[in-house]
Amino acid sequence: MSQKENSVCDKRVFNQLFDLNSEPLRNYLYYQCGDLQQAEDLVQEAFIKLWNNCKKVLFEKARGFLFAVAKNAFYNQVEHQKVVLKYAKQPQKTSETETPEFQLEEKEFMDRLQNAIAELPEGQREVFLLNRMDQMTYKEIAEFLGVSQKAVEKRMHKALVKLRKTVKNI
Amino acid sequence: MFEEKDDTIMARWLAGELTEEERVEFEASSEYEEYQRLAEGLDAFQKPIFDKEALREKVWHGIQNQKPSKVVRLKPLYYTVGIAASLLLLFGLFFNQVSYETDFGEKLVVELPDGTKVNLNSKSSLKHDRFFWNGNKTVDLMGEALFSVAKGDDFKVETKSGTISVLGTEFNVKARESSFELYCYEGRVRYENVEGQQEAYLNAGDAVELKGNILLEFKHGETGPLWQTGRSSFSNAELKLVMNELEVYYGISFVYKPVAVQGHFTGTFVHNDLGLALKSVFVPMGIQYELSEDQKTVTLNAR
Repeated sequence: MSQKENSVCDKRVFNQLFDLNSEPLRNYLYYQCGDLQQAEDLVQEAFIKLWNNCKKVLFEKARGFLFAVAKNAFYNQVEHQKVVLKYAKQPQKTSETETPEFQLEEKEFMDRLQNAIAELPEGQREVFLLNRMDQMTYKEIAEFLGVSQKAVEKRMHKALVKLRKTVKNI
Repeated sequence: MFEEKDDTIMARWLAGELTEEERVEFEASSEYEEYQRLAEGLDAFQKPIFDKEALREKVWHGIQNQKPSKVVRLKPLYYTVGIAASLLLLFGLFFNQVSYETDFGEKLVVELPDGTKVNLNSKSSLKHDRFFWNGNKTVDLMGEALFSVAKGDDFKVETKSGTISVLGTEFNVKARESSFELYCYEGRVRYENVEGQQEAYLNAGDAVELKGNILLEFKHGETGPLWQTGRSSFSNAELKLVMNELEVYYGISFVYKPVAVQGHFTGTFVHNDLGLALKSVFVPMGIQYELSEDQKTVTLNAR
């Protein structure tokens, strides 16, 4: 594709960028601030800014641009809240074998896990959730965050070790 | 422990990137079951709902409804400063006077910007300029006040009945509608009445009183005005003046026939007890008086 065809000012290209980036960006912001509405507002602002600067931003750099803009806005205005993810009931295997005690224990475990995720440090949490929730590979996360893959793997490792310990200790 | 083997090993396990050798080792480790359960639990978490099309619409809507970028102009600042300056000027013109006022029976101690202390007696007012006052230390007085002027100052008190100039001193001025008295307690003051072409220099212990157009000079033996102690004192004073004083301290008014209130009064009355004050003035004068129920009107009858 020639440079002209890839212009961010082209509505089609812009929509394509939106398809590619809106959800991971929204989720990433959500994993940081814990407020879906605020995350979506930030995404909206970031895309509007991208449109306004479409002549200056190359297609290849658009993702980085969106990310940087949203992140800056986030650090400027958003109050940090706890990320509380919703979870579905574990698929029940055989209803006859599941005693109420087992179900209760299961629920307790999930609650503890939910809290443990919320307690993770920001850097670890964002990597952990992008990988688990958005099925991004470590490589993709590394590109997305602009860090090395090794760094992502380290954060992921730490997050897992920490989760195991927290869930076990409560 | 297996998880301490290296600093990315758990990440690789979760991504399914362990080597066969590592996997066997991990499955034999003590943490294996816990991690297995953790992974199962994690699978149950749901990704937050994302309505991509709604957000896309919002973005386009936002792009199309952008306000033109704000240009911050400096002009409003000029306006603000201009308005503020105008207000200040107006304020200076109209509110340049500072005034203190006392009502019937009230007393007030005022400290002027140069440190001069003024004790303002009842039903009196004192005014002076707010700005540049130190260059022209003049106060306007209506009523009665005791001044303790800071030393070395050229200080002036203007009254209806003349001007008093001082050089660091203490004096009492009484400049009511129909009377003027000036008592000097310390230092030296100069009294001047341009209209009456009268002039007097007062040292400590000197006093002047204006009776009609005649300026009486006499000596007093007091160290401070009596009103400061809560009393008024008279020596052979016209009864009308004494009644004016009573009005000043108590906010009362008199109803009488002019013939009923002739004579001169010598004595004192207190400022805080109307009944006692009326008694001490009118009983010696042989005048019957009656106080109305609202304590505001006194009717006088010659005996």
